[in-house]
Amino acid sequence: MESIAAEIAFMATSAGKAFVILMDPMRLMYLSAGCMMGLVLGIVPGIGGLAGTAMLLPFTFNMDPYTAFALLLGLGSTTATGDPIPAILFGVPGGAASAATVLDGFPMAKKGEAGRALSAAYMSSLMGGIFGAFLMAVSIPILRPVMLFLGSPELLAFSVLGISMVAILSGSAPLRGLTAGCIGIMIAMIGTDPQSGTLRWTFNSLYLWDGLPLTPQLLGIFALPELCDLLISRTAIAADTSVGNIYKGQWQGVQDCFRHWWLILRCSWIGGGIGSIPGISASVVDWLAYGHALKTEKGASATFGKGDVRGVIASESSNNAKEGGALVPTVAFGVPGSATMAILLGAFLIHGLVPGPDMLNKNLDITYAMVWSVALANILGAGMCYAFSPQFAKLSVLRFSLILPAVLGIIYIGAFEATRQWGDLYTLLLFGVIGWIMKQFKWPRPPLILGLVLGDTIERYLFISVERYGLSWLDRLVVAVLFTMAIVGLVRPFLQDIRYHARDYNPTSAAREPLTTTGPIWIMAVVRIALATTFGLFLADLATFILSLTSARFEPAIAMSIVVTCVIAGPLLAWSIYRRRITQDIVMLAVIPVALAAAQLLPANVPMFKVVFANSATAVLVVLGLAFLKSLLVGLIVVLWLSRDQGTRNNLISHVNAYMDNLWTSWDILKVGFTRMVTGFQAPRFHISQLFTIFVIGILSSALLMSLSWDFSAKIVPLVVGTAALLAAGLSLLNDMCRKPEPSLGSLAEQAMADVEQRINASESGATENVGAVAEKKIHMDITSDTAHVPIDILLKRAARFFGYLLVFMVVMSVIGLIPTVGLFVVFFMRYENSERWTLIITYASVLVVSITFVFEHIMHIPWPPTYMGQWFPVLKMIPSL
Amino acid sequence: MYIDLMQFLTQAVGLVAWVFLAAGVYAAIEKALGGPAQSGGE
Repeated sequence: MESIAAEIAFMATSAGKAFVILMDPMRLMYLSAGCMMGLVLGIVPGIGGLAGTAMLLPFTFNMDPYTAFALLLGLGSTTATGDPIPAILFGVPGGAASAATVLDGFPMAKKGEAGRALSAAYMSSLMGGIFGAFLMAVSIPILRPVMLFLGSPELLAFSVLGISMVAILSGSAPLRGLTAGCIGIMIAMIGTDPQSGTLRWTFNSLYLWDGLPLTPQLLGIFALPELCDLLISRTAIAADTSVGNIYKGQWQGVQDCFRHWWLILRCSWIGGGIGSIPGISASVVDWLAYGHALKTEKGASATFGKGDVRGVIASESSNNAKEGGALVPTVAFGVPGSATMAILLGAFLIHGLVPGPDMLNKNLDITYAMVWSVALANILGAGMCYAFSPQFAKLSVLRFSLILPAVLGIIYIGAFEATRQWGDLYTLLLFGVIGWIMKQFKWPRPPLILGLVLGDTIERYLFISVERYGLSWLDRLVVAVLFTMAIVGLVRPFLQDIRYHARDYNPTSAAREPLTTTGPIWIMAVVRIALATTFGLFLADLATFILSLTSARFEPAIAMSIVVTCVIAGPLLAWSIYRRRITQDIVMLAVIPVALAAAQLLPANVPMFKVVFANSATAVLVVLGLAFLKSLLVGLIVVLWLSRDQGTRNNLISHVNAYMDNLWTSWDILKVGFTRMVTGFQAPRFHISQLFTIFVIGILSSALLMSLSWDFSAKIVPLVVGTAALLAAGLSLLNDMCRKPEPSLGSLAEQAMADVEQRINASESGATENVGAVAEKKIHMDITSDTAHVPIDILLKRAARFFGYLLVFMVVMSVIGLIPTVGLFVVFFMRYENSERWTLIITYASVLVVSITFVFEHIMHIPWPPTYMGQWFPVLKMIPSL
Repeated sequence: MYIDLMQFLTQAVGLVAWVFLAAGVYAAIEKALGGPAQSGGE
C-alpha cells in the first residue's frame, strides 16, 4: 500500500512540476506560437503538420526540452484543429486528417449552417485533443510497472516491430514500405561505426564521418516534395472567400457537441487508440471514426453525407485525439506512432533524451510537460479558431506564388542549422529529389524516416544485447512475443494475398459432402476451453506476480488462480456459446471450465510464474504446453463421460468430421490461392516507375558490396538489413513487372474510405437525382492524387523547374548570401511564374527579407553559410548573411 | 535580448533598396523581351 501511495505522490509531484515549468511566460509564448503556426499550416494548402514540424525542428536545438516540445507539440496538436475550416467552407480539406469532415461539413455550409459546423468542429477537436492528452496521462501509471521488464533487447524488439508495422501499414505496398524502412536504417549507418571505428559509406568525405544529419533529410523528404507539388498543381484551395457570416450558429455548434458527448468519447477513443498503433496514419483515423458513427448512430444512414453535424463531430474529435495516443509508444518504447512522432523522436535524440524507461522515471516531468502541452495547445488552438475564423478562412486563397518563396527560405535556413556546413544543403537537395520521386511513385515515406531515426538506436541496442546476453536475448519473453508479432505482421499481407487469389474458389465443389452439425459440439468447446483456461491461468499467474512486486509479502494463493481462471475463461466460454447459438446443455458446459481449471492442479501444483519469469520464451512455451495437455486430458475424460449416450456420441463423431472438413477446406483455399498466385505470372511489362525500383536495387547492391570488406562488428547490421531490403525490392519489382494486373485490396485508408463510400451510396441508391451528389463526393474523397490532373509532360517540366530553382538558389546563395538571394528569388519567382503585380511583389519581398533578417540575424543570431563575396570583400560582411 | 536597432534599420533599408533594384532590372529585361511571361511561360 505504501508503495502505491509513494507512486501516486511521485507522479503528482512530477505532473505539478511540469505544469509550473510550462506556465513560464516564455514557454507559453512558444506554445502559442506553435499553435498559431499549426493552425496556419493546417489551412494553407500544400504544407501539412508534418512538413511544419520538420521545419520547426532545427530551431529548437538551442531551447531546453520543455520549450522545444511545447513548440513542436503546439504545432503538431493544432494542425487538425485548423483543418476543418477549408473543409467546411470550401469543400476541400486543408490536410489529410479532415477529409471525412468534408462529407457533412460542406453540405452544412451550403445550407447556411457554416457557423454551426465550424463551431462543432472546433469544440469536438478541443474535446478530442483533451481526451488524447488524458489517455496519455492515464497510460503513464499503467506503463510504469511494465517498464521494469524492459531492457535493451526489449527496446530493440520494439523498434524492429515499429518499423515493420509502419512499413506494412503506411501504404498499399508492404514490400516497398519494407525496402524504404531498411534503406532508412542503412542511411543512418553512414559514418563512423561506434564499435570498431570503421568508416561506413563515407566516400572519403569528411562531412559524412559524423553521419548524415537528420534535419536536412527530414526537410528534403517531407517538405520539398510538398512544395514541388504545389508548384506543379498550382491550385489554391478556394477562389474567393465570400463565405457569409460564419459567427452565426456558433452557440448551437457548441450545444451539439455537448449533446453528442458519447459519440465524441467513442470517436476520441478510436483516434487515440489507433493513433498509438505505429503506421496507421492521420488519413485513416477520420475515415474510421466517420464509418463508426455511420454504423452506430441512430438514423445516420439517412442523414449522413447531407449535412449532419454528427459527421463533423465524429471525424474532428478523432483526428485531434490521435496526437496524444501517438505520443504513448513514442515516449515509452521509442516507437513513433506516426511520421510526425518520428520527427519528434528526432527531437528527443537531439536533446539527449532516450525514450523508454527513463522518460517514465528520471524524466517523468518532461513527459508530463508533453501531456500538458498537448492539452493546452488544444485549448489555445480552439480558442484562436473561435476568435479568428474569418481571418483563417482567408488564408486558403493563398496562391502558390505567395507560399513557396517564404517557406523555401525557411527550409534552407533550417537545413543549414543541422551542422552548419554546405553539405547540409546538398543533403537537402538530394533527399528532396528522392522524396519527390517516392511521393510520385507511391513509395511510402514514413518508414524511411523511421529507419533514419531508429537506425542508430537499433544497432546500439543490438550490440548491448549481444554483449550482455549472448544469443539468449532472443529467448527473452517480451522479445520473443514482439518478434513473433513482427513476423506475423510480415506474413499477414502475404496470406491475405493468397486468400484474395482464391476468392472465387468454391470449396463445396470438392468431393467431400458437407456434414450438418446440430446439437452440442463438444470437441470444439473442449479445445477452446482448454485454450482459454490455459490462457486464463497464465494471466492469473502474471497478475499474482505483479501483485507480489508491489508488496513484497504477497503470497499467491492457488485458489485465486482457479478463481481468476474461471473469471477469464467464463466470459470466453459464454461468448463461444452465444456465437454458436447453443441453447441446450449450458449447465453441462459450465461445469467444464471449472473442471479444467481444477485440472491445472494435476498432478501437482507447479506455480507457473517461477518458470515464466526466468524470462525465457522456451520455458513459457513448455509450461503452457503442459498446462494445455492437462486441460485437454481432463476435457477428453469429460467428453467420454458425456458420450455414454448413443445420440450424443453420433453428434460428437459428426462434429469431429465437420471440424476436420473445415480444416481441410481452409487448407484447400490456401493451396489453390498459392498455386494461382505463383502461376499467375505473365511476360514482364515495363513501366517508368520500375526504373526507380531498379535504381534502388542497384544502389543497395553496391552498398552491400562495399560493406563486405568491413570489420565483422561494423558490417553485421548493414548486411542483414541490406539483404532484407534487396529481397523486398526484388520481390516488389517482380510483382510489378510480372503479376497480372488485378484489383488489389488497397491501403487501410482506401479500405476505410471505400467502406464509407459504399454505405453512403447504398443509402442513396434508387434516388436518381442524387447521382450528381454522389459523384461529387467521390471527387472530394480523392485527395491523395493532387497532381494527377496535370499531364505528364507538364508535370515533369514543372518538377525540373522546381529543382532547377533550388539549384540556382544555392549557387546564387553561395555567392551573395541567403538573404539577398531570397529577395532576388521572390522577385523572379512571383513575376515569372504567376505574373503578380509589381506592388505586391515588392511589398512581399521587402517584408520577407526584413523579417528574416530581424528574426534570424538579430533575435536568433544564426550563423550563415560562408559566401564567396564575403571571402573576397570582407567589408561587405555587414550585409546580413553575406 | 539585445538588438542593435541602428544596424538593423540600416540593413532593412539596404535590403529594401536591393529588392527595388532587382525588381527594376527584371522589369527592364521583361520590357526588352516584350511583355510579362504568362504563368511560367507555358
